[in-house]
Amino acid sequence: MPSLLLQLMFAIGSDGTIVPNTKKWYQDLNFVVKDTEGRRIPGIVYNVNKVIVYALASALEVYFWTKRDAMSERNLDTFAHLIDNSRRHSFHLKIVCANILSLDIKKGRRGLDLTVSQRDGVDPRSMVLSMKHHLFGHFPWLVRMFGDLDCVDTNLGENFHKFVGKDAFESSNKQYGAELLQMCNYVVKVEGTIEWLK
Amino acid sequence: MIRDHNEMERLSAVAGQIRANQILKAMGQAPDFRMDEVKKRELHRAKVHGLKGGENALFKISRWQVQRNIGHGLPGMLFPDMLHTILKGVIEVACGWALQIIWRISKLDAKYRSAPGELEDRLIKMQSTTQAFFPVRPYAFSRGVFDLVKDKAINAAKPVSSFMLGKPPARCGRVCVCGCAGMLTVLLATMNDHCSFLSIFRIDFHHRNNSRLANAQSIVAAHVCYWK
Repeated sequence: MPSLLLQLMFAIGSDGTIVPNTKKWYQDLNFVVKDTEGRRIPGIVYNVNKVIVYALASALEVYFWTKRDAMSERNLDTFAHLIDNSRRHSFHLKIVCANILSLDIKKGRRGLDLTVSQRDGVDPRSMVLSMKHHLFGHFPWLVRMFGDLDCVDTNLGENFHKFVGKDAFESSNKQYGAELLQMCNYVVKVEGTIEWLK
Repeated sequence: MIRDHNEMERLSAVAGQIRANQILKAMGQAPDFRMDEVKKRELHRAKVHGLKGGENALFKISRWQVQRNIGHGLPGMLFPDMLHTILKGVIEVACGWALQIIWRISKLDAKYRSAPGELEDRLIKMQSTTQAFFPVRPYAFSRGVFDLVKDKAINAAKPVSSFMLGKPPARCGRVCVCGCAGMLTVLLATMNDHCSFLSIFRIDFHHRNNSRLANAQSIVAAHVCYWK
C-alpha cells in the first residue's frame, strides 16, 4: 500500500497531464457553499494536482515516521504536527473528491458543462473524516507510553497467520482430520529452507 | 445507563444451563426438563443483552455498548494498530480518493481523457528498487491499477473510504536493481533491528518466497563489485 502511494505520487507529478495543475480548472466549476447565515458564497478554490500530491506526501511522511526506532520528545512533537498536517491534507482531498464526484457524467457526451453558474459544493463544516483519521492522532501518546510503534503493529501477526494458516491450509488436501498434520509439515518444510531462521 | 455485570454473569450461566438441558433432553438424557415461561423470559433477556449462554459475559461488554449506541465496540476499546490505522486507513483512502479523482476527471474533461493510461504507463516505467525507499518496498506494477477502484466505487457519487472493492492489480514481480550502493547498509540495518526485520521478512516472504536469500546474495555481490 505505501508502495502504491509512493509511486502514485511520483507518477502524478506536477506537469498537469494527469490532473489539472491550475486553480482555474476548479474555479470554472463554480462551486458554492452556504455561510453561517445561509447565503451562498463561492467555495474554496483548489489546485487539484497539489491537493492530491500533498495528501499523498503527507500520508507517506507519517508512515516513514512510524517506522522510526526511537523518538525524543522533540521528535514526538514533530510527529504530532505531521499527523495533524496529514489529517488536514486528507480533509481537503476528501472535499475535492466529493465535489468532483458530484459532477454528472452525461451519457453520450464528453466534456464539462461550464454553463452552470452555481453548483452546490460540499460544506466543509459537515465533512468529517473517518475514525481512523482520529485514531492515528493517538500514536505520539502510544510512543510515550509503550515505546516503539512496532508493539502496536499487527502486520507481523497477520502475515504469520497468512503463512501458518492460509498458505499452509492451501497446501494441504483440505480433508478434515488430515489437514492439520499436513499444515504442520508445510510449515516445517518451508521454515527449514530459510537459512537465517536456523 | 449502567451495565449490571453480576446480573449479566448470572443470565449467561442460566441461559447456558437451559441450552445444555435442551440438548440433553433432545438426546434423551434429561427427560424431566420442561421449558416454562420463566426460563423463556431468561433466555429472552440474555438475547436482549447480547449474551451467549454459558460464555464469559465480560466479553460481551462491547456488544452491549454497541447495541445501546454508547461505544465504538471492541476495536474502540483497543489501541489503534498500525496496520488498520495507517495502511488500511489513511494511506488506503488517500490512494483511493486520488484514483477516484483521476478517473472521474478523465471522464469529465476531454483534455484529460488519456490520463489513466498515462498514469499506468508511468507506474509501469518507474524503476523500483527494493530497498531504496525503505521502509516502503516498491512493486513493479503492470496495468490494472484502476481495477482497485473499479466497479461500484469508480462510479460512486461520493468518496469511497475503502477502495479494495475491485481486484488487486496484477504484479509482474519486483525489479531488483542491485546497483544502489546504499542497499547493503539498509539491508544490514534491517536485519539488526529484530522487530522491523521480522515484519519485513514476513511480508517479503510471501511475495518472493525463497528468492529472498538469492536476492540478498546478489545485493551483497553487487555491493562488493561496486566498491571494488
